[in-house]
Amino acid sequence: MSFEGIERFFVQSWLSFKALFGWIEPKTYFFVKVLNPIFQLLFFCLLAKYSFKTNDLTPWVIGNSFLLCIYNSIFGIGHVFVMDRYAGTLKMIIAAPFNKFLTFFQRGFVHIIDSLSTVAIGLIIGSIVFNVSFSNISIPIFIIIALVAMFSVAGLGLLLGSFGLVTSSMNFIANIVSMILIALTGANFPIETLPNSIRIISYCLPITRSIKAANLLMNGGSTQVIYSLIVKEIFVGIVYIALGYMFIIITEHIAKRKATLELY
Amino acid sequence: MKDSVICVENLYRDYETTKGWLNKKKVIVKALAGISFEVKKGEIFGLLGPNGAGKTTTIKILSTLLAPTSGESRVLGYKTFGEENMIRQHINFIFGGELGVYRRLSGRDNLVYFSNLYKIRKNIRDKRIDELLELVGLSEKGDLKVETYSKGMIQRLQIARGLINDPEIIYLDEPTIGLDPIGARELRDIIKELSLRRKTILLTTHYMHEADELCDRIAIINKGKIVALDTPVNLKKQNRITSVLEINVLGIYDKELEEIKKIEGVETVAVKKNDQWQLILIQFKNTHNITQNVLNVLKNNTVISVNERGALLEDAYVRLVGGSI
Repeated sequence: MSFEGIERFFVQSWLSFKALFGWIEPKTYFFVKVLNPIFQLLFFCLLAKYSFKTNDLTPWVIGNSFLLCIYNSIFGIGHVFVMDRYAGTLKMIIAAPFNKFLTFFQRGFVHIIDSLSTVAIGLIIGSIVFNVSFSNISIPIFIIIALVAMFSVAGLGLLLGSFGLVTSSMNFIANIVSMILIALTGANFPIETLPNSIRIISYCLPITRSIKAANLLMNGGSTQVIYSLIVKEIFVGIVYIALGYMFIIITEHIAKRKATLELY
Repeated sequence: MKDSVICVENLYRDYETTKGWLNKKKVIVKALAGISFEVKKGEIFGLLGPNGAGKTTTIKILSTLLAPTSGESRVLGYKTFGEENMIRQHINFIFGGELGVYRRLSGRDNLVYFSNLYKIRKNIRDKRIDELLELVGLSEKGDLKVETYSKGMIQRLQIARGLINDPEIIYLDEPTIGLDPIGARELRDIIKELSLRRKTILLTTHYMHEADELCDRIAIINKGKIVALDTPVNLKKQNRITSVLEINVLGIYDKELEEIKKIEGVETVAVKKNDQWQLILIQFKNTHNITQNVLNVLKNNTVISVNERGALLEDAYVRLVGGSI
């Protein structure tokens, strides 16, 4: 990619994020990206405290902080085509010669960065309220784990978003997927306690391995295992992105046949 | 046609929908029922027709956004479904209304975003954006957010967006809808300017005077079929043996309209509804004098004015499409 191509990537990423998301405005940002996630985190951590009768809430603070990226990665990225449809700009994007998947990927990029800020807010609030200490761990490795987790969930968001070309019910789909992530990624219930068949689903989901790696890091687990989990998480993200790429080609074709590009 | 850039042959498009909740039934709506036409390079070609006639469906197919059910549509020699990547760099479209631009971005940022979708080099892009903002009269407001724009300004920005890739073929779907008379006039001037630059333009509109002023040829489309295709002059000539009686009345009933239709020499009757009165447009053979007979039918109505004139393009349209305007 040329220098101009790289510049174009960042310009498009920023413009599309600014164009489609209202939380650029500080008030909306505060409610959607700060206050709401804090209460979600508090709810699940308090639930765990009383259900599991424990005072060490480290796994729940980490798991649920990671899950806060759902706002960006599932609802944000998953809705880009739908939001373009409502802005009346979807047909301009589809009829332009630029690769649709790249257009879509550019839009996901700022979401990954933005979701990191939400995750950081969750970790800071969680550590203050529930006395979780990060003093004895490698912060760079923790940041890498968080970044890989965001990348991987963004991959799932891209796959979901491709369905926006053929359905107007993305909210319904995004809600189901976010509930699956909350229940099955190990953020709230240890994966070992899930039935075998459900466990398979857990390991097909993004973020599961990142939560496991972060918890291992907090507990001083094997670095080898942590690195292996990080690599596997990247692979999961790549698989979802590849599926998203394929599905965009397929759904664009279906959308033109079934006239769903302007389905409200 | 040898120098055609758009070729449409026997094009059909059906829309499938369902009726009912538990016992769903498939319903097929025929939007296009076998239309054929060709557009030459540099031509302004008009598609006229009532709502639901198939105009927008035709434009969507030609702009690679919709697959035809059957038949063939080619742009610059390539199929619009299957070979769309060969076409997209050379076309663009402008739909009427306030949608189609990002309201939270400035006018300039919108143009930057859409030009990047066409991979236009930065130096060309920035120069072209300045030129386009100048062309549509938004140079001074280009850095303001679109949400602060008036309807007319949004429409002008849409035009700049539609020209961002310097397209060879431009589709304009009711581009002046909702514009004030001055805004509409300015837009028509831009269309004429584009035509001088040998751009091919396919235009749909409801405004007959607009089609008459701009189009080299016009296809009148009704219920998915082309019912006439000719130059505006020839379409009007088809109506040379008819005259039009315009009567403004306060209140008119269907029964009275039916009676007028029965008067000897009357060909079509259409009604334009205004806020307080109705304008009855009666096309009749100019070998007959129908004025007194019509006024007899309307003897119980308040007739505001009566005027007889020669046929216009609008009258040719009414004659071909029938019904109200």
